[in-house]
Amino acid sequence: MSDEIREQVSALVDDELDKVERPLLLGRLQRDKGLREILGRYQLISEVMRGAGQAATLGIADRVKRALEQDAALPAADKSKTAGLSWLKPIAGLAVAASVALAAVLAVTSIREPAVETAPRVASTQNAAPATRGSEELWERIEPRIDKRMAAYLVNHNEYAASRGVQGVMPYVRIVGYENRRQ
Amino acid sequence: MTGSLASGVLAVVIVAAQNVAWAESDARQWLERMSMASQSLNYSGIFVYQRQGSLEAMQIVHARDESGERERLLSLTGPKREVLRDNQVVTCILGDRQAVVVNKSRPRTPFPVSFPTELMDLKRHYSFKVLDEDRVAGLTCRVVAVEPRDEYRYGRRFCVHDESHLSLRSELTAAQGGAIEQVMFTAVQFPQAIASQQLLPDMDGADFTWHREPKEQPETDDSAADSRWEVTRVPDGFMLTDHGWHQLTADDAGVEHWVYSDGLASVSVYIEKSLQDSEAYDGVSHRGALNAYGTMVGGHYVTVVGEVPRQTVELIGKSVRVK
Repeated sequence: MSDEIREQVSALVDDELDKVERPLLLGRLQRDKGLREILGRYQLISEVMRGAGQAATLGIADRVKRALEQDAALPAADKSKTAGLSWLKPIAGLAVAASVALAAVLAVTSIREPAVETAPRVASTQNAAPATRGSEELWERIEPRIDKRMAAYLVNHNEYAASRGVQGVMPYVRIVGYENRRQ
Repeated sequence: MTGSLASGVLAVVIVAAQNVAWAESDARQWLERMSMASQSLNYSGIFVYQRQGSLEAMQIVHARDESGERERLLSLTGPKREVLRDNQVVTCILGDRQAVVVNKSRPRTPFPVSFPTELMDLKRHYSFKVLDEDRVAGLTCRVVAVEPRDEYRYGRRFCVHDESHLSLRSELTAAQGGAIEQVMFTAVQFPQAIASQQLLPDMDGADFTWHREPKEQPETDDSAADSRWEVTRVPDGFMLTDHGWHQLTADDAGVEHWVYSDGLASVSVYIEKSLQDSEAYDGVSHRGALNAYGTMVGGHYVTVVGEVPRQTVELIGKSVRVK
């Protein structure tokens, strides 16, 4: 378990986790029992500090999972009450409950950006074929070299293209789609 | 006698013209409903995506409630990839590349109700037809075809579900009529509610390289007139619909972006300063129906991307110059 994940959990319970990272962490919480246990420990610390003692010690980790499952069972009409908040809403109640204690105990000073960037990816492509000039398959060949830029273009263009007109094919399938020819 | 014959011919011509007009109007109604359905329904399903001789399976979950749209698209074949989209952001998690790309999402406008003045233009460049009934994913659907009138745009062919109006099969077609790429549901459901868990990713991307669009965008005056660049040629019917400057990732210096649309297809032109003057960057490529043209102009990368034929991106890309 990396420090970064722990910091994200901490930020989550403090309700300070970046909204982009929230669904990713929630997804991980669903799958990772160990991570839920960590969240449970944070909750336990919180309750002990508030004097709840032993009564609160058991089964806390799985409450997170149950909370998510209960949320899943809510019909759409109930969900509408959460307007304005997206994926995090199911866990927000838990986060608020634990937040005061965690802020004191964990001494997490900041949320680190998740592993920003990428010089190696660009640098590694310096040895690529020297010229793509005139290539009919430019995309496949230069994509590793300009991977980051082209990926950003594609996502950006998809949003503009999808915001107008009729999409012949769901735009993001081309990003999710797998290039067999790269193999 | 001659007069009555002429009247008869005239009547036939008028009826034929009316039928064409009704057919077009009918087709556009199907498309409007389809466009609305794709944004307003809860649905989930498995579909296949076919292009260039490859066939891939994917899953989509789309939810709509008062907080807006949320969507999750994930690959079921090949490397794990997912796209999550809501009203604020689009997050692309590319498992095979250990990368996450985050970008702001943009509001979607239903076709083309809000652009009535564009309808006449659309008819100049496309014909609309309602064709036979078909069956996809066990559901009855109506085939609606949009055919281009020139070689600068692709056609579209949809099979629109009779009841929900969701497109169950979508094709992009070349001017000659052959399918370039196709998406077809093999199973689809329309649940009353979508569980939040279904919209969470399988991958968390924590150890991946993140490429984020910065929250603070550079100060821009969206006027293309202020640009030192100009796009001097676009195919008939394409109009400039957006222009601006973006910073697409935290470490890039910013990119100028021009968007042209003919009402159905969109083309983006990206102009970005090259960090390496000697770098060669010139050519065309495609990913399914998405064509790209790249070239260097005055030490800048010029990249044109769109769901249009190669000649369209090439024509536009070669016309970009410094004022």
